[in-house]
Formats: sequence, C-alpha cells, structure tokens
Amino acid sequence: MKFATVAAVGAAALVASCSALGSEGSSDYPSGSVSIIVPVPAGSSTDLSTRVVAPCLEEELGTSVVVENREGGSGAVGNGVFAQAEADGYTLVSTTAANAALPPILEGNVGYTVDDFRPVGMIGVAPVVLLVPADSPFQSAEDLFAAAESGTVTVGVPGMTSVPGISVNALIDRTDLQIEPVPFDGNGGTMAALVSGEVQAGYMSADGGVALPRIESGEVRVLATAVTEPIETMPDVPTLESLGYSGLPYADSFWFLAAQPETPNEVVTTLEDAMETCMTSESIASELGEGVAPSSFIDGAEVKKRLEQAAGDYAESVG
Amino acid sequence: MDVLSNFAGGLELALSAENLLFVLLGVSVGMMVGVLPGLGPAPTVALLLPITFGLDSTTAIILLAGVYYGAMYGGTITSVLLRIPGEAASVVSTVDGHEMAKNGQAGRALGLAAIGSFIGGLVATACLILFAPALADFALSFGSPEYAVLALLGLILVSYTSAGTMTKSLIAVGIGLILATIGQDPMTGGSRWALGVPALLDGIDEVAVIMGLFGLSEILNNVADNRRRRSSIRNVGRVLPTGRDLRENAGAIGRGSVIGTGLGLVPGGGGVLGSLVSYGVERKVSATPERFGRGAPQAVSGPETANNSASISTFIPLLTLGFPPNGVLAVIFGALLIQGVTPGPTLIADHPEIFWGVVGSMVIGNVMLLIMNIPLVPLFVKIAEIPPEVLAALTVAILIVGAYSINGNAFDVGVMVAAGIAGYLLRRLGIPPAPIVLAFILGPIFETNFRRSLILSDGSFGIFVSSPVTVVLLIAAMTVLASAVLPKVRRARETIEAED
Repeated sequence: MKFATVAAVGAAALVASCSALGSEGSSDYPSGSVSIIVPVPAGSSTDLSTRVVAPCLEEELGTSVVVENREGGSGAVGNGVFAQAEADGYTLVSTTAANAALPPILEGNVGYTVDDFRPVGMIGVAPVVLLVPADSPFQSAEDLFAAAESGTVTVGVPGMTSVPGISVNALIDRTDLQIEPVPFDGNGGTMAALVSGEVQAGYMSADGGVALPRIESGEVRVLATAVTEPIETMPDVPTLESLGYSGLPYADSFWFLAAQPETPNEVVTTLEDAMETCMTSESIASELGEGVAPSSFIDGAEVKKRLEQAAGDYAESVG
Repeated sequence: MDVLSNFAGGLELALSAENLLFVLLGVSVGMMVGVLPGLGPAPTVALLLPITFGLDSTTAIILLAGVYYGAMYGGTITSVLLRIPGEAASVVSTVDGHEMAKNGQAGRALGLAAIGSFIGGLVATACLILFAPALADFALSFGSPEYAVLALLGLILVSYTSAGTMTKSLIAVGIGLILATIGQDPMTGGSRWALGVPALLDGIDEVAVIMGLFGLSEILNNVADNRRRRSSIRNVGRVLPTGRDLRENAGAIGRGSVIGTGLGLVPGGGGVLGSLVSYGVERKVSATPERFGRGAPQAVSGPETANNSASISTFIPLLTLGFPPNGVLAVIFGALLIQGVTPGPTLIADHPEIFWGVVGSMVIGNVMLLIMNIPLVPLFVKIAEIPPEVLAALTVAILIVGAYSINGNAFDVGVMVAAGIAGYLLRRLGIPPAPIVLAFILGPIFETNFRRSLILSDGSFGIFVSSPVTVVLLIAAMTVLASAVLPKVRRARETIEAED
C-alpha cells in the first residue's frame, strides 16, 4: 500500500511536471545519481514527504534521486552518515530540526553537530499544538491553565526529549502551572491516550498523519499553539505567547533538505533552485497536505536561521 | 450480519490473485521450514521480512502468517518420520508419532495430525472472527496500568512455561530484560548503555536479535552436533485416516482446539505451550494412559491440533492489543510497523482490510495445507534429506543479508552474529532462547507502562488495583507464581519436562 501510494505520488508529480528545466549552472552537477538520506524509518512523516518531493527533484535535476532510510539513534545514525559523506551534492539529507539538533546536545559526540547542515529548502512544517479530547470540560486554553493553577493537569507528550516534551518542560519551568507531563510513544501513542481519556490534554506537533485528521474529524480540539505566529490554517487558535506565556523554545517541528557546509556554492544553488520549483508546485503542496507544506518557499538561509534558533533554544531548555 | 459481510469481504480479498499466490507461498515455505529441522518459523518469518517491504500490508501479513501455521503442519512430518522435531511445537510428536511410524503407521499419524490441525485452525480462526472485534473494543479500555500488569503476567508466564528448568528460564528472562534496557530511557529520554555508539541510542534491533538467537544459534548448534539426518522409515502406510480413527480421535482434536486457542492468547503462549498442555491433558483423560509413549494416536492428534490453533489465536492479542505473544508474532509486529501500521486497539477499525484479509487467508491457507499434506508426504520426506552442510551455509548467507536489510545497517549484522554466538553458548548451558526474546519484548512494555502509571497516579501503587481488569490480571499473576512454588504442581511440571 505504501509503495503503491509512493508510486501514485511519483506518477502524479511527473504528470503535473514541475515546469521549469534544471538550472543553467556552469558546473556539470549533477552527473550521477543523488541519494537523500532519511534518518528515520520508512513510513514516518519525514520519510513520506521526502518521497513526495523526490520525483520532482529527479525531474528538475535530470538525474535519479534515491531516498535511503538510515534510521537509528533518534536520527543520529543517518545524520552521522550524511555528515561524513563527500560534500559534493550527491549525498543529501532530509531531516527534522529535532533530529539534526538534539542528538549532539543530548549525547555529545555523535559524529556531527547542528553546524554540519547547509539547508537548501524547507519541506514541511508542523506547529506544536495543545489538544484536548472533544468531550473535555476545557473549552479554551484559559480554562485549562486555570485548572492547572488549582490542581494537577496531565498532559501527554510524544517523549520527553521531543520538541513538545522540551517545550512543555520549559512552560512548567517558567510558570507555576501544575502540569504533569506524561511521555507516550510518539504522536500515535499520545493521541491514543488523549482519545481514551488517560490524559487530560495532549501537547504534540500537528502532523499530517496523526493529529490533523483527528482535528478535522472533531475527535480532538486545538486550544492553543506553542509557535509565535498564528497558524495559517487555524487562524483562530491563540498562541501561547498571546496568552501571556512567552520565552518558550522554538516549537515548530520542521524538516528540510540539506547538503554539507563545504558543498560548492553552485551545487547548492542548483539544489536550491530545484527545491524552489518543487516546493512551489501545487501538486506537491496538495500531496504534502494543507498545513504541512509551507505556503511559500522557505529558502536555505531562512531554514538555517530557524535551525540555529531552534538548536539554541533546545540547548538552553535541555542543558 | 456485519461480521459475515466483513468476513466475506476478507475472503474475497484473500482470493485475489496476488494474495492467493502469497498464501500459497507462505504455507509452502512454512511447510518446508517445518519439515527442516534447524529452521523454525521465527527465523523464517524474520528472513522473509525484507521481502514484505515492497508488498501491500495485507499481503505482507498473509505471507508471514502462512509461514507460521504452515510450519505447524510441516513440523509433524520430521518429528514422526525422523524423530527430530521439525520445529519446537512438534517436540511431543517425536515420541508417540515416531513409535507409530516404526509400526508402519506413519501415514496414519500424519493424516490424523493434518486433519486435527485443519480443524484446530478453523476453530481458532472462528474465535478470531467472533471475539477479536469484541476484544478490540475491550482493549481500548486498556490504559497504562492494565498494560503494565498484563506485561508482568506475561513475564511470569514466560519464566514458568518455557522448556528447561525454571532457574534457567529465569536467567533467560533476566538476560532479555537487561538487553531491553539498552537505548533511550523511555520516560526521560536519557541514554542507557549506549557507550557513545550512535547506533545503540535506539537500543538493539529486536529482529536482529531474533534472527541471531533463533536462526544462527540453531545452525551453530546443529553443526556442533554434527547431526546426520537419514530417513529410517521406508514404509509410510495409509495417510487418509479411517472413520474409526476419526471417531477415536474426535475428543483429542476437540480438546486440542480449545486448549490451543486459549493458550495462544496468553503472552508467552503459542504452539509450543499448546502442544505440551494438550499432551498432558490427553494422557490424563485417556482410558489407556499406558499406551502413551508407545504410539497412542491421541498423543499426536491432540497436540498437533493444539499447536496449529494456538499459532492462529496468537494473532488475537497482536491485532487487538498490539501485543506480540511470542517471537514469531514479534516479527509480524515489526512487519506491520515497517508498513506504517501500528498494531493496537484501533487496527481493526483503521485497517479493516488487513484484519479481514488475513482472517480470510487463514481459512484458505488451512484448506491448502490439508490438501498439500495428504498426498505430498512422501515428497517432504526427501526435503528433510538435504545435506546439513549445504543447508547451514545457505541459511547463514540468508541471515546476514536479512540482518543488513532491516535498516540498511551493518551494525545489525553484528548484533545478529553476536546474538547467534551468545544464543549458541547459552543453549549449551541449557538456557533457552525463547524467554530471552520474549522478555526483551515484554520488558519495555512493562517498564514504560509501569513508570507511566506511577506518573499518572502521582506515585501511588493504588493505580494497579483501580480497575477490575488489573485486579483480575494481578490475581492470575499471583496464582501462577504460587503454583510455581507449590510442590505438587512443580512435580507435574517436572514430569512434562522429562518427556520433552
């Protein structure tokens, strides 16, 4: 089924064809096949969105693009393989900011640091949101925070060292709220606990696989978002900052394509141009899903800025 | 009826050309590994895992399930003809089954086993159809404390019911639990025993461990024993049982179906446990218990029925609770995860095609096996004669490729080889591999849910007696523990062990 989907996506991308031809850079890059390492398992949201974009990159670059899963160590294994590869544009990585930044912070020497990524474009974003089940007594974030002032409120998170886990701990540190974070196994486990009523609220990224479908179906309600700007697709949802909780770590879960820092500039330009064409293609945006695909292309420099900010925030919160 | 139309849909899905092909492939491979000593269903299912990456998720599970229950049929053949268990669940048939074969009744033993397996398979499939959706609803009410207590009960059962002495089972369980702590702390995210190796941050891969502990260590063991397998049975005799045979064995087959289906549900259960208990029960109810050990047909038909029905009912906890009760199901659990499907309470609702398609394929697969078993018996005798050195070399090559292909990572090959060598040494010490793997899988389930429960209850142990489910499970756990130390039960257990 998964492969059928990928094949269908590939076919769709080819038919819709990402119009422009490859960049007219002076170098002969690419002259061979390009591999994109995905440091998380096949089927995860980073993996699937990379596989959506890959056929378009193939078209743009005029060479075959192979997506390779090298999972392990919360992304450390695949990112390590990428960082040690030749900086020639033939070994790229598609990784989340958390997988790029957290293992070096938490584990020390894992063979790379956050400086080993030279992003060439954003693939997807998923803002961290505060969720309650449909039948929850909390109608607003204010209700929930009021309850957390007088008594304990349990909040499920997809792991303590996930972006939501770090963010919720920062919230607890900065306030007197009696929030009890409870780690579950990924977004799926957190959602199951939330829907079955084991926890009163959930704090997780609004990903296309688990959270967005249940927000749409009304099984869960979004009370607030931890990102600083309102979410485009959910403009009515207040930000935690607007509710008076500021200084929280960067809470957009995002994933991007990157090359090594020493990669020649012309190669990076070629890749960035290809990414821009692909990420602004409507068919790709609809395959990635509304609320996941960025509404306009976010270039390498901007991704780099966000990555550094996120890494700095994580280091501060965890360290 | 909703169930009927769902089942009809599943049957239709299973009858599609592709699925039909993979059921046939699964049960044929299963039959063969059942026949071949050394290769059991767990390593085979693990070996086939990379093949399933490219398949539709329903087809993938149809294939792997077929291997499991196919092996239950095939295992009997080697046990009866050569007195070597083709796989662990057919251990009991080496006694009476082989005695029957020496008396020229090999065909009768195999025929009864095949028909019993078929009936047991259908009974277990019916339970899967009728009760799994209900069990799934019930499973949704399973929160962290319920899972913690269930995993605890599983760990106790694993230590109590495995082959070998209790002490050695406990050592095996301990090894599995310690191995399971490698990697990230499930609550805090801190690393444990990672030794600065990035590949160890996520812990060691359970599939690589299973391939090593079951597959490689078995081969090393066979090589060390320099086992020669030569068929000593020339006269197979009549395969189709007579009406009188069927009447005499109806009770054993009926009881075997119930025992097998029930024991497949229990964590740590499955074919091995089912066949051992059925053997014990048949001897107890027999009017002529002195014939047991000298070629009693009920000593073959009962256990062989039980192991097949257990192999099918083990799918109930996997598909409804997301709990793999044994090593084979643990690999199937992994196959589903790789397909992006998380087995758990919502599986039947979210992926009805997987559940009903697999159920449909089980009916078809059992029919295929019945047809295959009766006329093909003489052919399978030949396969058991592949020279062991050829078989060993081929299998090692397949294991290495298989381990590499789990994550495309040479590290897992190392894990597999290390697990294989360790498993071999432990076997030599009489420490069985199955409890290691089961504890390795149950340990994190227990730890995570236990610690999470205590966070939810603010440190109060009262949460573990707060629901009827946890109370019942705790009583069951204590009963098993108590029976393990009471002298009378211990003697009975030792008797069963002595006959293994």
